Amino acid sequence: MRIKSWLILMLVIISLASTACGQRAQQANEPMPQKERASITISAAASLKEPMEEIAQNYRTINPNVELALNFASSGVLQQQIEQGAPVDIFISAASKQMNALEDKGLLLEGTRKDLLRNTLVLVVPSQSSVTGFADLAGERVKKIAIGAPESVPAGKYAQEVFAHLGLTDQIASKLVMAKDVREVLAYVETGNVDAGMVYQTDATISRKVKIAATAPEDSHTPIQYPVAVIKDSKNQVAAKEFIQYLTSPAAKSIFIKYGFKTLE
Amino acid sequence: MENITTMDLSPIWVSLKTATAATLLTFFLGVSIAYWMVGYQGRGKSIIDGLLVVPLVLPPTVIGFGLLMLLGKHGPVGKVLSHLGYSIIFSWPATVIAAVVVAFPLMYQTARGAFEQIEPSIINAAYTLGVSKRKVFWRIIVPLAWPGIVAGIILSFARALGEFGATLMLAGNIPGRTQTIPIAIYFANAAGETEKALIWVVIVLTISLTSVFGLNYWRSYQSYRR
Amino acid sequence: MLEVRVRKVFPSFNLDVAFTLNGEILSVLGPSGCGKSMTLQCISGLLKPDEGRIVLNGRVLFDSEKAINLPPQERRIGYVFQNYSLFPHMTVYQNIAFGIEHLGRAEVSERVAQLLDKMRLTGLAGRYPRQLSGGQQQRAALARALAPEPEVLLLDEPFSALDSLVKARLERELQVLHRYFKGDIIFVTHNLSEAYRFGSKIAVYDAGRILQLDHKERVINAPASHTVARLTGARNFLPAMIMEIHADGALLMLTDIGQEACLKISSSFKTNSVKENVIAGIRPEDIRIAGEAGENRLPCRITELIEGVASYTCRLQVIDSPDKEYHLEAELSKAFFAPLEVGQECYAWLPDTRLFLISK
Repeated sequence: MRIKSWLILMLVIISLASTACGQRAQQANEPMPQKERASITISAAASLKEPMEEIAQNYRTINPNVELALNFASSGVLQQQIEQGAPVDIFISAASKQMNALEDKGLLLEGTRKDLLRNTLVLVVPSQSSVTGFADLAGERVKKIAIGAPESVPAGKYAQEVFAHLGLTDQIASKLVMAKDVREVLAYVETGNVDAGMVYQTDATISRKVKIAATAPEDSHTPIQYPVAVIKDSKNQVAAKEFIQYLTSPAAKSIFIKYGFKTLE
Repeated sequence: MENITTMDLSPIWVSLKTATAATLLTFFLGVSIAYWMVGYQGRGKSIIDGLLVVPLVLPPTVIGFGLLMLLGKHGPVGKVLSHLGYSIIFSWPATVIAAVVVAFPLMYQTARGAFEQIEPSIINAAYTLGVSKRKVFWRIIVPLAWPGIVAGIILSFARALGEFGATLMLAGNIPGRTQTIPIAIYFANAAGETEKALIWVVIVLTISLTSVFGLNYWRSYQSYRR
Repeated sequence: MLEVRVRKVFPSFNLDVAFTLNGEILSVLGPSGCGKSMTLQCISGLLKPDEGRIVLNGRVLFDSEKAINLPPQERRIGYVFQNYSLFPHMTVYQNIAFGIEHLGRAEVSERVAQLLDKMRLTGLAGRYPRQLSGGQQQRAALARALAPEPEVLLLDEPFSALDSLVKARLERELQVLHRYFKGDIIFVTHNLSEAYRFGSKIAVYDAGRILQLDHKERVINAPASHTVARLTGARNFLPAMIMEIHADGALLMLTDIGQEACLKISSSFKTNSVKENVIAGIRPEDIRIAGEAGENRLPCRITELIEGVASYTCRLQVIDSPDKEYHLEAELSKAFFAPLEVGQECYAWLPDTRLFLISK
């Protein structure tokens, strides 16, 4: 019985300690608690993880009284969350489809939608693979191909278009493995559990365990556009708009370009 | 807008095939290991028992991760299989493996409990009558433990049917091959196809509730007979 | 014939027993938890002794030196468990037939019918154990154990769960058992009366050892030790010194009382000597009450009296004992003695033939 009480006591102490530590870490991000503080949540497509994190870090030094929360997932999942009422301020999608859906439902703040970035789709394979192009996908060597689930992951939709354009759809249909976002596709290829995958060029450059076997021709799919907008129900519209402004600034643009994205203008 | 007549119903067959195969495997594994454990008098009995039951308390993602490490291309088992030309990852057998791992503790525990509630003197009496151990097992132990074992079977089936996290990690989402109903729900929801997701939810609820109610009904029928 | 010698170490005591039986009924008597049931389990093969040898009718069932240990299935012993342990999911017929199914349907049918008849269970063959009374379950368990025609029968406290009426009836039936079962029977109980009525020999157990194994009359009337006497209900122990020894008896002086209390005791005393200190004992039911003084009579006063259905349980204080309060316990049949009262003075008569000696 004594051991039991000790264990319970330990559990309580640990939970209290972690919440306290969590709070302290939060407070460290807010060096000036007295000023007016805004907190904005940004839901961004999975492929934007690295550049957005760097940009957010920079923004914090410029604008320390704005707290940024980044939420990455496939564009479809993010769209779903917003439709279900998630308290998101800014949405950056990897395709127009999801942004259009929100716009049709009147969930976007008027006048804030902008096209932000462009990207390229590439075929990646494990570093040691002997696959050299799209044509190999129909062959014996390639048993499994990973793409994002087309209905919810834009990269998967684009991949489907590329396959259709190249006339490969029927031959590879039975080899497809659907992933929940483009980073999962990347992970599948990295571990070698699939023989090839379709990801953005920007994803391929991040990983050292895959190599690009081919690039999808520009005309083989809908142009890959990343629109951004403020959500209508945002409680920090001013701060949100300001942040979107920053996204189009030279400083932010250079970060995007560093990771392989193409910016507009 | 898709409805039940237009949508791809392959997840039902995948799920049923997986759950049935997994339940069969779990039945044999669970019952035999439970029986062995009841008779085991050696050291470390509670440690072994804990290990056998641990998937019950582990998050499915932990199980999925562990299985991936073991069976993936670079894992100890995966490497061997890969040399033989097989890959377990992203294949239908992977759904069965994930389902067996999560359902096994349920079958094992209920079977073990069912065996242990049999009075040892009944089994001893059978031995003294000159009856072989095997005959005692099939004619005395199994019939007396049967209600508990059946409960274990039903629970395992329901658990195997509902398995998601580990299945997704190990078998992936391959429509028609590894896309089980829970995976279909997840991706339908991600794609904003809420009606489709709802239809799947209703289907899987029906199957699971039917099994559980069926079990309860059968149980009360049994106790009435007694 | 059954030869048993087993030794096994347990946390609370060590089992260390040895005996031989030859076509007789042995009652094993002792308090709970002293190793009686464990002996049965060793004989039947359900428990493995640390060391020993068990031979049944010339077949070696267990021999620790030769590493022989036959499984229970091969020992041909019949075992009736304390709570009968009938198979709850089988009918009475199926229970009895379970050990002999390999004999073929005709043979099985005949044997089961005979056993049902002997055990007065005809007509109940199709019932399930839960539908039987305690006595019927008992008889069914016995029939089941007898069906494979075992060479020895082990009964573990078969009467403990039955009420007295059923018990009496069952006792009578089991007496008859020896008519058609010729093998040895070992009967375990903690009840002295059952042990005496059922067996021809009694083995008294205490803490894993046999204190005395003898024909039942000798165990009762000539207990080998203080413990045996206590366990068999001889409640009176009188420290004494041997004053004289004769051919047909001796004269004792009760040391705690003094010169005036001398008892004559009729037994043969080859191993005792004059001036030896001994303990004389007498069973409560052997003490009588008399109105006048005489040989082997001690003056007493009744200090406690409990009236039972057929007898009085009486505590008598010996008058004239100098230091201690000297008590005797007597069990007096109502048929022979007039109603008594507390405080009444009388003489306790300890007949010389009923006294026994326990060496100190």
